[in-house]
Amino acid sequence: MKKIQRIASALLIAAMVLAVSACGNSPSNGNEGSGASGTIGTNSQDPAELSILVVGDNTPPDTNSVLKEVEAKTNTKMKVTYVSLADNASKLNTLIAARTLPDIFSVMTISDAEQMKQNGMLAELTEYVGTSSSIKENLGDVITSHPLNKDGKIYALFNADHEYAQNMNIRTDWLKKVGKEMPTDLDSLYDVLYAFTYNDPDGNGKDDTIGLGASIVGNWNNFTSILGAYGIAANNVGLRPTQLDDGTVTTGMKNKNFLEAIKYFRKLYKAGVMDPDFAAIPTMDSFGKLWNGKVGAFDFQCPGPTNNWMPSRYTENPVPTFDFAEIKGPSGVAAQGKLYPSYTPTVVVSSQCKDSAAAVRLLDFFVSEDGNALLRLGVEGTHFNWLDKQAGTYEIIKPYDDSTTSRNDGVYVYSEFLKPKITTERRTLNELTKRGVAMADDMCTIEWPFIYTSFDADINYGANLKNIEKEVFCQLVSSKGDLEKEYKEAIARWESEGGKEWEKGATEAYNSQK
Amino acid sequence: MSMQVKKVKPLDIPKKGGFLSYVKSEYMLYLLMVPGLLYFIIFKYIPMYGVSIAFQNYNIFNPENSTWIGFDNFSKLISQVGFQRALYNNIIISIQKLIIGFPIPIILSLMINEINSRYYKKFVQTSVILPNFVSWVVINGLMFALFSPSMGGIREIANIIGYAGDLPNLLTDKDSFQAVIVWSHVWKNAGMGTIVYLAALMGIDGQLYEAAVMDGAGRWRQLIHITLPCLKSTIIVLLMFRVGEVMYAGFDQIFAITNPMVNSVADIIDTFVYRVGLENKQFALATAAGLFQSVIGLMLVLITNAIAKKTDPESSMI
Repeated sequence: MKKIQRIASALLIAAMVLAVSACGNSPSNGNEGSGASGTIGTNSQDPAELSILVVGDNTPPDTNSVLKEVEAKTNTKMKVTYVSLADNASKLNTLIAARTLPDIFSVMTISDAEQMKQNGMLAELTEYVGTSSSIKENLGDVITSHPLNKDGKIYALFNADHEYAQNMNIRTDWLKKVGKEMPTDLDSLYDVLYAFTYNDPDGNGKDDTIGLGASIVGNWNNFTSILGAYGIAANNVGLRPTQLDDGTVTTGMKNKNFLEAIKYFRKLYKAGVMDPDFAAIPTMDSFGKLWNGKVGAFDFQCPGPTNNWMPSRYTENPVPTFDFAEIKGPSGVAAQGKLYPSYTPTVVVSSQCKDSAAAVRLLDFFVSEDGNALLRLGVEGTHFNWLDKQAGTYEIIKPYDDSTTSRNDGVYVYSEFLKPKITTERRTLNELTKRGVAMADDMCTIEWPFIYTSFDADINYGANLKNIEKEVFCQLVSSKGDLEKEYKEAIARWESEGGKEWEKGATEAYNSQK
Repeated sequence: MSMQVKKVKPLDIPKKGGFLSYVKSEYMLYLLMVPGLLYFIIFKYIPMYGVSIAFQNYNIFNPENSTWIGFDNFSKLISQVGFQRALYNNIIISIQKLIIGFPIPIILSLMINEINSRYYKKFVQTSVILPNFVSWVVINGLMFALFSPSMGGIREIANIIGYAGDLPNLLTDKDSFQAVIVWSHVWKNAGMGTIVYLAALMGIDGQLYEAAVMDGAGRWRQLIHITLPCLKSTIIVLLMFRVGEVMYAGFDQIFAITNPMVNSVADIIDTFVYRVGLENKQFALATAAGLFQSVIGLMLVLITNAIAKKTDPESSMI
């Protein structure tokens, strides 16, 4: 009996020790920076271990072919953590608080990046960038225009390519079926959406289609064109600030046309011609409605619907056909917010990184022509073959013609992390999409106060105020009560939760940039 | 009806050497307690040091430079519309969960206890406890698949029976969302509560029922005069736990199923803390909110315990 007791005691103690040690050193959480986990080989032949935080909705296994190829070409061993855009802020803040930042990551706001720099969390990259040919070629002198690099010391890298503007993608096969023309203004858009919803455009005899697909859960892309028609600038992360006549820089909710835009969205919502689930449906599920032939119009950057998802994502046979609408607003202009330099997301290297040279080498590969092609199209000979590299034509090798399969093997997953001036994606777009991209770029005419300087109120209240904007938008669109009254209450709430301070700080920051 | 109370021999603590000798002689039992003790020390007591953040102007980028600011964070917190709203929702949702969710496991367990067929009883028991093992993320997916007015199961059924009219959008309607929160909570958790009460029911001496039958008591009388009084202690202890949780309205659930359209009626202190702390980096404000929540929770437990002590001294915890 005594013996059994001793064995049991020993087992209990062993279990406790294991549990405690597991709590103290969780190697499997994948969040440690190399400061905690990384050991760079003293031998220069050894691959450098680098941890990287990638934002996106794809989570391929660590053994994916693209990652392996990147590692082979850059002599690195990468440990990738994936996080969705919606969870990125909380993930990064947790890592900051725990002092376990990954070696390479992107920061979504200039304020955060400034704070990190000021507190010694970022590695200075000047020395390594100087010898990185692709970074120099793509960012050149522009690199020192970034607020973090103003003093000539390089801390931040950013996309050389500007972001895509949004297109109102309209199914032309459905237009034919319901006997409508491509919409050109808000009224004709409503008519088309109504017909898409109630005139059985898919011809299956069921009431199972919706005019406008939309989701606000992940981002604001799906509302950009209509907001733009009212002269309100927005992009994927939300409303852009606006400047009042007295010079105050404030939330886009205070734009003089905001309530009018809300009334239009409300009309769509009440008529059932806009996805009634827009506030609750996850981004990928809202894409699914487009892919499965349930929605006929989708406000999104056209490389998705007409190029990257075409044809494998679509389940209908024949696959849908699209074209793009320029929606003119009350002022007779179709517009979107002006595109300014893509300072965010800002790509940085943690000061905990034990091999900043290797980190920059990896980022340099990302923005090289070959690197970007690998990240966007996959491994040549495995995922795709060039037909004419110069002309940007290629064929996809089966089974990677299926987007899910190819993304599961790493294709496309890392290509948005740091983009060169002319991306492989831009070079290989089909003609329709190229036209759509050019059309959207031309519409980017709305002036809005682009603030690239960090200010305290933005650090303290910025994220919460963004949440309030999203909440207010959803609640006003679905409101059954007195819209004007609810709008005033919403503005009062925004102001009471730091909005007033934000206005003051934003105005000063914007003026200081001039 | 008088009950014979069996006297239990007190613990045989050797007088010589006192408590330490007793621990030594029964070290196996104390060893079993160590993991639990360690758990509380490591995960509950040591992190309490972090509460100090609530009284600082805490900067996550440079915590060493944080300064003491007394109760400023609490004043700032209480003046925020977002916090006031979260506190109000928290109390309303918790009270609804308590009023609706607390009696249902008792009723369910009494009903299950009345089932005669062993196999049917097992089947019902298993059925009610299964939802407890489904995560809120999955339940959110299930609810969306069921209630989505554009593509949900109910829409499909409506189409099949030829109803083409509008369906209520339960998941995005402010008027119905709190009911969704409460009833989905009841659906998921009632089973686990039922098991606790069923276990207590098993412990009731069968002779009491036999005697009651002899005295002519029917099922209802047995329920009122034997079952419920025997369950009283369990009910009071569980009620105390539940009241202590009133300030915790269910972060996992609400975080998983909420959306911007219903935030005004669904945002609770926990989701507020998450948003303010992890998303907005306002760790000090979030800690102040969390501390406020804990102190109120502790006070509620102590008050409930005091009431329980007065009504039934055996049911109180301290």
